[in-house]
Amino acid sequence: MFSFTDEQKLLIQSVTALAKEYLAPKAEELDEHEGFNKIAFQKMAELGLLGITADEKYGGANLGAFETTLVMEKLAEACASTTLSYLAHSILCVNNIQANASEAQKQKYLPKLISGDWLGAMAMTEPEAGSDALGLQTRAVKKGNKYILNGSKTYITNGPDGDIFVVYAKTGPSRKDVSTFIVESKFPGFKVSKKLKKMGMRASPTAELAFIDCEVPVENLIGKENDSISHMMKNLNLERITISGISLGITSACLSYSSRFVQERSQFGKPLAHFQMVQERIAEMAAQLDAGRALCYAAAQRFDKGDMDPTLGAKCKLFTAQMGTRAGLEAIQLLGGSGYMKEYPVERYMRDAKLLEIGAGTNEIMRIIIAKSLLNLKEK
Amino acid sequence: MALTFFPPLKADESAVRTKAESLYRQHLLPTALSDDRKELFRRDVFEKFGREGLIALGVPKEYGGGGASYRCHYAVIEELARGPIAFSVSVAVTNLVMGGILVFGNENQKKNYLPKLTSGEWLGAFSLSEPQSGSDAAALNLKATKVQGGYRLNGTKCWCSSGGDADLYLVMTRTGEHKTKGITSFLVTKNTPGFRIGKKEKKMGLKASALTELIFEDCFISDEHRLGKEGDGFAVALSQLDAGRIGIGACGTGIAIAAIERMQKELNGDFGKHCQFKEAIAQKFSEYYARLQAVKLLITTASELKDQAQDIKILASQIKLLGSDLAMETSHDLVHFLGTRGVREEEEVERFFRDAKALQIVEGTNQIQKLVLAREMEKMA
Repeated sequence: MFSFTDEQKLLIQSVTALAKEYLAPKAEELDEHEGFNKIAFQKMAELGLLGITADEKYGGANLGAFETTLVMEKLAEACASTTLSYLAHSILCVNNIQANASEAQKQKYLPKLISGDWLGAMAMTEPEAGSDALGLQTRAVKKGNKYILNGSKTYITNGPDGDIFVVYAKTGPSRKDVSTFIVESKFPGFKVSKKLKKMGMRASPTAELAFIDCEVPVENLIGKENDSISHMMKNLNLERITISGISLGITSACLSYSSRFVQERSQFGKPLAHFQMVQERIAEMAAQLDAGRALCYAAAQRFDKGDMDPTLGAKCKLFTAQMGTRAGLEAIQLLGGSGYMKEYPVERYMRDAKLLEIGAGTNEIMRIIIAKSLLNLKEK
Repeated sequence: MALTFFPPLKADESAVRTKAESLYRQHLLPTALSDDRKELFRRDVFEKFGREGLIALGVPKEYGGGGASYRCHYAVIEELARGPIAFSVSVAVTNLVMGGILVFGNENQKKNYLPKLTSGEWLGAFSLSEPQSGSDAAALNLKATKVQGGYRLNGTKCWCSSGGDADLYLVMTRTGEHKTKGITSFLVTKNTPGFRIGKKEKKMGLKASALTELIFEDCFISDEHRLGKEGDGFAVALSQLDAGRIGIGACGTGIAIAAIERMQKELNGDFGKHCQFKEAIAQKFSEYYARLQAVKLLITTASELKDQAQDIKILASQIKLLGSDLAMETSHDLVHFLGTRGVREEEEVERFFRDAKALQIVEGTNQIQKLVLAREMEKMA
């Protein structure tokens, strides 16, 4: 029911093929052992996906939020957690550098990030600054030709193996004095302090990071000092639109898996699909999914036209993340006992989906963003 | 501070529950996280519970049971579900086996098996499901062929809780063509030749309770091991259905209590100080508290009626449906409001959530409970 250009159709085709060949077969095992799909990243690099929004001169594909959302959806149908790592790399790190860094910084970092030689990540959340993102406490103090960073970051996707981190830190006394730095994992004083174990998204490694007198050259400051809030908010908006693609992909996987199952499984002498209570669930899931797609595709296209409205990302993420968890739980219930078993993928779909109601801003924060914009509420 | 519910337990019931609480706090909680990861059933703790008289509260004293009220029994199941719920499932399932023996067993079977089960020396398992027979329980196909002095069993059971850990298996088999009256049940001990444990399932939750296939290959079971008469099997299963469903409902209220108390603790602590949504969370959890009290009243009523041997089919379905849904919703919200902390294994709240989902599926999915209730309502119209 959605229309795409020929280029977009081709993109969808090649991403679907990649997902089928390199993501789907590994998803169960990587979930079990909390692994990371390196080969998939290499294949994504070959397709030009690692720099999907970056300029062609750095090896990027120069595409927009809409195409990125489609790619997320198709990848996540096969393995949501690999897709999350892909998002952290391509949107949180690569796109951030593409959109905000200097020419010299781009030349230094983008080609190797886009070729897959380096893995990228972004570090914003801290132990005491989660929903309250501007409450961050990591400090950067300028000393000679270096900034000295001290503090800790947590829940950092791609943290354990990342090479390049876009890091937010305080450089002044006010809440809004936030600056952005490019930090290489080999800089002195950078440390992965802990790999975290999670309920879902287990093939997307997450870490706590420690900066202990971490030395960052002054040329690695992105933009000006104390000037990061506006691009932080724009990045978050893009992140929330594109990450919604992951929820779309999970819901789509739930729908197709459970639709097949209820047609094949018979109880009381007829396929489950013949029971009205089953039909009701399938129909509801399908209607929700297309509503979610319509919302995300439209929001992505608005974003690509330069619309900066922060409710675009908030609405997409609020709607699709809740939809994803609900679809996961419904798919488990439709499969009954089988749904609860690791042998079937739907319990993984649900565990993966739940994270999307929390990461990149919780549902509650999304509601606040939407309410503030509608109700004309002032910051306290 | 613990949540208050009405009516309060009697003093002796309350003492039993407190004993169960102190035992699981001492022996199960400290290793709950690693037991879950390693999918480890704590046999040593089960035996300890047996020695303390906590496994078989509803069984008459003459067979080694506690001779207590069903309310007391379900209070213990609920209490255990506040800790690692997989353990309370093992206790509940053993009670289904004891229940089947109490209703259908002959004096020999009662004397042979009940003391071992009530004392915690043996663990019981209840096996009904087959690959093609889940919600449609009576469609089972495991064949039992009459031979001289007994039966030969051939076929496969699936999703048997405590499979491999259990010592005594109550197994439903097919002995005749009639869908329900062609079912016969047997008590199979673990080392019977021709009987073995098949694949152990990996699952999302309830990890510390094994779930396995049971495989029967030309397995000879003597007549003395048949529970009830030939053709009684489905009646045996049905006789334990209500008890099983209330048990799952009680596991549900246990999870809900744990989730609400944890949220309360968080709201009173650092989390509450910084949380921007305290009011919204408190609104939600107050509603859960009200619903929880309602489900607990249903369990109290059903237990009292069960003590008087009255029909509690409708109540059992209502309790299973409402209790498991409440567990799912409260644990989901707990995970959610704790945010990224909520999905971390170390916080031990994501386990509640994974475990709660099982409660909506086992002992008849919640859709089956609604079918049961719809059918009963039809009769009332």
